[in-house]
Amino acid sequence: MEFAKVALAATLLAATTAAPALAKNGVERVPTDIDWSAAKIAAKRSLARDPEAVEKFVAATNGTLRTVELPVLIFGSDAKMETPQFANQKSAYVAFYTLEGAQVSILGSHTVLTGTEDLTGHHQAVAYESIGSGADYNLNRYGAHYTIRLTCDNPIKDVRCRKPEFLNSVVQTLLVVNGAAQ
Amino acid sequence: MRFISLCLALAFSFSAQADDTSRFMMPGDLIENTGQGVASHAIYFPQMRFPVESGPAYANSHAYAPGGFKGNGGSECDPANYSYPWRDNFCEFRKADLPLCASGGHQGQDIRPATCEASKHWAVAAEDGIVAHVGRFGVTIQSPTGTLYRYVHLDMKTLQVKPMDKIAKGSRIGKISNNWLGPLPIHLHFDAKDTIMLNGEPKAVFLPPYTSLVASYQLIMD
Repeated sequence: MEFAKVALAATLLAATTAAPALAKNGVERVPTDIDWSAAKIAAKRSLARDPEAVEKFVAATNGTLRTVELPVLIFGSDAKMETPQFANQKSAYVAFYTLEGAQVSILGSHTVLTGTEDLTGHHQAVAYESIGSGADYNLNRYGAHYTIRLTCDNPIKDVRCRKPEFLNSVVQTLLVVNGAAQ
Repeated sequence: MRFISLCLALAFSFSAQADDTSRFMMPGDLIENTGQGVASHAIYFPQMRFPVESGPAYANSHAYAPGGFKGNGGSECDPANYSYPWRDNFCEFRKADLPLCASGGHQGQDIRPATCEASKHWAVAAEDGIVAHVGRFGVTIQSPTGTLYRYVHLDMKTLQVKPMDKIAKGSRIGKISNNWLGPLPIHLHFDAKDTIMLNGEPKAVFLPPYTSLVASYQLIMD
C-alpha cells in the first residue's frame, strides 16, 4: 500500500513538472454575440443598394445561408468580381473569388479565443497586413470577425498584393447578405 | 498492482517528456539576434493534428540556417537542418513587426520534412474544415470554428484538394516543396490565425503555433 502511495505521488510530481507542451491551458473558445438587429438593417440596405449582387449570390447558395450563425459579407458589384463559391460551416463561412492572376477569400467566424492573457500586444493590430504571397484585411462587424485573404500569382509585381489600395477599395463594396437570424 | 503499474508508466511518460529538451527548445527561444519570440507555454490549438503526415520532421528557421538566405552559406541539406532540437521561429525578423511580436514579423513556423527532398512528404490537414483559399504557393484551411491554417511552399502539382472541398483532419493536402518566386530551402511554412481579445478588443492575429506543433508532434511520434 505504501508503494502505491509512492507511485501515485511520483505520478503527480512528474505530471506537474512535465514539458512545456503539456502545460495546462487556460485557452478556451467562446462564441461571440451577434448584433442581428444591426445586421438586418444593413442587409436591407445592401439589397436596396446592390440587388443584382445579392440576388445572384442568394440564388447560388441554394438556401444554405439560413444556417450560417453570423452575417454573411460578400463583395458588391463595384468590386467587379464574379459570384463567389461559398461554403457554410455554421460558426464560420468561406466566400472564394477567383480573379485574373489573383484569389480572394472572405473568411467569417464568430468565436474568440479567451485565456490568452499571456500574449502581449506590442504593435497595433491593423486592418491590412502583408502575408508574403499577398495580404489580409481584418475587420469586425456586428460581433463577427472577418479576414479577407488576397493572394497573387506574382505577389512582388502585382500591385493588388503589394499595396493596400485594392483591398481597401473592395472592402468599401461589402454587402451584408444573410445569416441564420434573417 | 495494475494501479501501481499505471502510475509508474504515467510517471515515466511525463518525466520523459519533461526531459524532451533534447528534441524541443523552449517556445520563444529564437536564434540569437533574429527577433524576440513569444515565450508563452499555452497551447492555442490543442485539437490540432501535426501538419506533416509522418515524422520525423524538424521545426527550425529556413532563413537563418545553412543554405538559408541569411544563413551565411552552406547547404540547405546540411544535417544540422535535419536534426533535433526544434527551434521556434515565430516572430523571426521579416519586413514588418507582428502585433504579438516585440520585434519580428514571421507569421508562423518553418518545418522541414524528414528528408531534404522536394515533393516527397505530405502536408496534411490540422483539423477538419473547408479548403478556404488556394493560391499559387499554398492553401488555407478554415476549421469549423474559424481558425485559419495556412500551408505555404507546397508543390501545387501534387495538390489533392480544390477550393470549397470539405477536408478531414489528417487528410493529404499536397507535398512539401520550395515553391516560391525565387530559390528557397525545402520546407513547409505553417501558420495559424484566429481571433483573440487584445487590449480589450477582438483582433484576428497570427498566433504562436510552436507549442501546438510540439504537442501534436508528440502525439504522432511517441
